[in-house]
Amino acid sequence: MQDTTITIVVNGQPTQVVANPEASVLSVIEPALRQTGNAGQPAENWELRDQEGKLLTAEDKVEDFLGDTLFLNLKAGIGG
Amino acid sequence: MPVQFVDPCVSRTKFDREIAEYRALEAEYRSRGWLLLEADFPGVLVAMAARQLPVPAVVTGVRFDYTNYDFEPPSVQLVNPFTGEPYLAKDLPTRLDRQMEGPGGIQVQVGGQVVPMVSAQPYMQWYSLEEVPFFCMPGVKEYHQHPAHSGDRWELHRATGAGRLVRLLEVIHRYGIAPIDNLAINLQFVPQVQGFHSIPPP
Repeated sequence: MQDTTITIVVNGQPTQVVANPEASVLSVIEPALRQTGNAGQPAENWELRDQEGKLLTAEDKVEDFLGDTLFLNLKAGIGG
Repeated sequence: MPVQFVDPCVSRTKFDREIAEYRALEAEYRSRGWLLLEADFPGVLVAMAARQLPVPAVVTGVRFDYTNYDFEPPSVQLVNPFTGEPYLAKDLPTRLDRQMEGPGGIQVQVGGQVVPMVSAQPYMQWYSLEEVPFFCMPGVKEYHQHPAHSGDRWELHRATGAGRLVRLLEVIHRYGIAPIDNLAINLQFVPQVQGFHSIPPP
């Protein structure tokens, strides 16, 4: 299947990532971070959610989100 | 009122970028219940509504102060969205609770099932109920200024976007707004004398 483009909003900053539709949706995380200059934290410290706020996992495929905007945010982490 | 000691052009440019990026996706954020009320450097005021309720409710306002950004992280307070006054701890509409598993993986038996013991750990912290509480999370000025976090300096988080507007709103939404699934309304009817009803004389 031909590669597709998916919109990822990284901490509020949108970027377009080219991805294989059959790949795990988590494969977009590293290119999205690279394209937006977010090199300060490893990919595992970020979380990808859909427009409804559902946390996406490795089981989810890129093709399930064609035309959607996904949101990549730094995990809340420690605190309190 | 904090003093702006960073070149105002630097902080303002970064502030304007935050607002421009927010505006670009404002419709998406509004659909989540985020309403941008003010954006005037260095302040931002956002009202956050629980739109998932049958009668959507404005839960809290969030005030950001981007003075000296990003040499310093933004200050973040939960405020009354109508007056802009910071909530005292006793009046907080949400404590931004998150579930934490107990230390050492302690498990308890509930109804024949073994489940991990969890407790609520609030991101909002205070020492007295009469004080303005602080949002205790990396990326927030009040967290990095606290002596208990002197080992976790802002400089360690600055390049990660930890202080960015949308990121902080996401956290507040996830722990303070999204978990709200019901609204309890108590109506109390108090009998009042409205006047006299005269009975015609026989």
